[in-house]
Amino acid sequence: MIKIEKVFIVDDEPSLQFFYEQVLIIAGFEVAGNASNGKEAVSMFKSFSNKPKIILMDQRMPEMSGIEASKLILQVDNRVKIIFISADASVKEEAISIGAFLFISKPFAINLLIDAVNKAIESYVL
Amino acid sequence: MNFKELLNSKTPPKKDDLTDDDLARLFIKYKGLLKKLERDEAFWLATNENIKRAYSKLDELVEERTIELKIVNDQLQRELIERKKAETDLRKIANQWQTTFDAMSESVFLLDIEKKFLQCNKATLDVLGKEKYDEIIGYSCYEIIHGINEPVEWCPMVRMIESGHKESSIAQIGDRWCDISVDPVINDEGTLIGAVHIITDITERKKSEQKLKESEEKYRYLIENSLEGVWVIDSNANAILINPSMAKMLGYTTEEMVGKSLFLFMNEKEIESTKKHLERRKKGISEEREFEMIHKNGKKVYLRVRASPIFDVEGNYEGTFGFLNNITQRKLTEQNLKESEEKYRYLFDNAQVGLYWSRISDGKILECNNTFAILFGYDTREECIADYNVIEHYIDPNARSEILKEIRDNKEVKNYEIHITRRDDTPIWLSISARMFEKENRIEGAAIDITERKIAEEKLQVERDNFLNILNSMEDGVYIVNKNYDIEYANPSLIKEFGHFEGIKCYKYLHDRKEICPWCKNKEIYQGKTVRWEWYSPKSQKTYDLIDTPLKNPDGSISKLEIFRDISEKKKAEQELKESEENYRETYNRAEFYKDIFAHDINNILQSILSGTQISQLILDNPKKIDELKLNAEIIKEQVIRGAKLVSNVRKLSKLEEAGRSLEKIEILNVLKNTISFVKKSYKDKNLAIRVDSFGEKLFIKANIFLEDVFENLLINAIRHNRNLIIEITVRILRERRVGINYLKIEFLDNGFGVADSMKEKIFQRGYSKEKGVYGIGLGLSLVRGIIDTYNGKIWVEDRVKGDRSKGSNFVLLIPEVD
Repeated sequence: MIKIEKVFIVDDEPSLQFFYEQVLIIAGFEVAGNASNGKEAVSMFKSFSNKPKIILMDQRMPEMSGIEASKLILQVDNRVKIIFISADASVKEEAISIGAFLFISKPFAINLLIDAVNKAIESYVL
Repeated sequence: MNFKELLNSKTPPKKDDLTDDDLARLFIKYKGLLKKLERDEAFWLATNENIKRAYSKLDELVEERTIELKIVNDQLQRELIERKKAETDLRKIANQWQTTFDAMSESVFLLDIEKKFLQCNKATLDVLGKEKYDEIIGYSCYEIIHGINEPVEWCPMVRMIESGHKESSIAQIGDRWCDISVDPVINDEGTLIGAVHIITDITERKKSEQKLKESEEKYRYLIENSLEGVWVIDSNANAILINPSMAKMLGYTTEEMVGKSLFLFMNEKEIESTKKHLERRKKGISEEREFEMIHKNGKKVYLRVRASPIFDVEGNYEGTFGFLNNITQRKLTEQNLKESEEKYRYLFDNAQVGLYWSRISDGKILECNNTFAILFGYDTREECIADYNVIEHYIDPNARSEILKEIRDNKEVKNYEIHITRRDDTPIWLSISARMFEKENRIEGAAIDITERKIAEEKLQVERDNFLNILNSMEDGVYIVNKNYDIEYANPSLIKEFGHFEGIKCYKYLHDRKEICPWCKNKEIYQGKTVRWEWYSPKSQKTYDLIDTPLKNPDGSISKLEIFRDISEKKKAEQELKESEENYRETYNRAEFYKDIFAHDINNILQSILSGTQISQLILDNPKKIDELKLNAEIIKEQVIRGAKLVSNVRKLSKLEEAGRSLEKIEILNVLKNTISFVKKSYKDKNLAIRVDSFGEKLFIKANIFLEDVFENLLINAIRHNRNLIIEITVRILRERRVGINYLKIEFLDNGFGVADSMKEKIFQRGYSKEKGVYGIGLGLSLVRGIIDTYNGKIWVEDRVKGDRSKGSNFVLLIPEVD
């Protein structure tokens, strides 16, 4: 039986949450949930009994940024692969340094996102 | 009480009544009286002898006459003429005798054996108060003299008859005292036939004796009780009288000293000296001197003695009488004084300051030290004293009278400067401190050569005058103030700005204050520092760049020089530049912020459009996905509108300040209604429950087209930060009066997830780079605050339910209401 991997979407932009979800479903993934800010993301990640392997993480969000949320999530599960998505390329270096798997600059084509998620799955260590 | 009264006093005098002179005079008087008595006695003895000789002569004459009478009797018959002649001669001789007899001052009379008067002299008549001899001759002596019928008991005649020798008595007859002597008159047969009485009036002598006795008692009392020491020595210098005061001075009792040699109480040196002095006593010299004696305890006692010699009647030296005073304390004081004087003399002679005494009347130098002499060109003080006269050397002839007046008025002068010439007429400046002793016609002073300083001061004065000329021509304001805050100088520029300064303290002149300014720099200036500071003058409404610096005056004091440079224009330019810089910085930051926000939001919008487009392409041929396609198209359309809005907001923000200057009266309920309608269309997928709760129907404020953006942002925020199925928003409008102004209070209450306390202020700030990752929520709230600011309003957020953030937020607007 083929296991369908879950992806956790964190972005304060509702339209992007909607489109990311459509893309992932088309590509054969399951969406574990949507969070609208970093704080909510940390809280939801902790609450998942079956932790998702992949997180699509926006940087600029109310209450808590993607960087801060990522640090806390990696403290909970350091195996999770976080794909940073931001229009601000200046945070790329910091994101990678704290343990993000990949950084994607907005705007991007949807195949780039699918490739990134696949790579992340492949590199995930059980 | 004078001396005479003292001698006549019946009571002993008190100590205080007596002076040394009294005692001395008493003693001399006493001695004189004794001598007189002795002379009187000698005189009477001589008189008696004369009488005896007279009687003897008489006897001889009688005998001769008798012989002659016998011869005459024998020859009587032979020569009657010769006899008569003889009788005449005899009578003549008798008369001569009577004349002699009467010439005697003593009462002399001849009594027969029956005590009857045979003869008497004139003095007897006087003594007995009779005028004629007949009143006496033939009468008994006791009848005439005593007025009784028989002789008095003590009658010397009676005793003489018994003894056959001369007898005498002293008796008071009436108020007179008499010395009575009786000499027997014996005839040729050796039979007592009568007596010669001589009565001498000794009343005065008796009185003198009485007075002398009384005087002796007083004299002894005085000596015994005198505070002054009395020491009487005999010719061998042994004490014959020591009074208690004297004994006490040397720590002995009088008994311990009487009979002892004077020299036992002296050291060897003093003994030699005293012996020489006693030799002078023997020559009759009285004198005073000071000398040392040895106290019983071995210490020196200094005494002053007034010593007088004592001689007997024959003029033989009998001893010395001395009055002594203890001057030990005075001597010690004098010694101390002498030592002190020596010290001061040393200081005087060796002082580096010229010290002098001069005479007021003629300016002559009475005394000076060598330093003073050298000042005036002399080698020694003696030369200076002998030659120099102050009056002749004053350069200004009136200067001396001026300094004398100054000293008289103030009792002294200190550091009074005089210009005078030396011995060789070269000028010298002196600083004089002096006091005047008017009664002693003397000035006492100290002089310091200040010539070099004065020359320097004169140069300094010239430089200062030049300096003031420069200051007077300066465009910058300048003033000089002393330590008492009195303005000494202000240049024309400053006077033009602040008016005349005479008699006005600096703090009043410049700052219109009644007391010293708390920011006063004088303390630092007088410590030698230069201080530069800025000052805005409300009086001139100018800003000055001030430079305060110490200024040394010719007299050595320090004043403050302050230079005022008007930098108002410069400050204004600086302020404008600063404001401009701030504006540019703000504009730059805002531009950066807008750029950042715009980049973020536009990328999200573009990402949504790109993703929506690509997904739509993927599902375009799938009929089952037709609803998704429609939804994607809607979202893409919404994102395009959103993008357009974003561009519009950026434009609005950049024009916000400009827009704030063109407000107009706007009815807010209408604007709110339209905005709610637009938001509801924008969020069709959300279950919105928006209601308006207003106290009035037509409410006006001064605003502009951005009011719609304010409402839209607040409503969209309430929607976006809310996870409830039904998003509830209530817009409540109240009226609130604050500080006399009516405000419309517009509250946006939601049931969203609220705002943390720490973020309640930050969310309205235009976040920059540091916080950009935290609340990248578009231009919303910073734009809202900017707009509300232009309306002179306020905006803040609080918990809808106080203290419980989870119940949602309440964004409050407060905007002035207009009619």
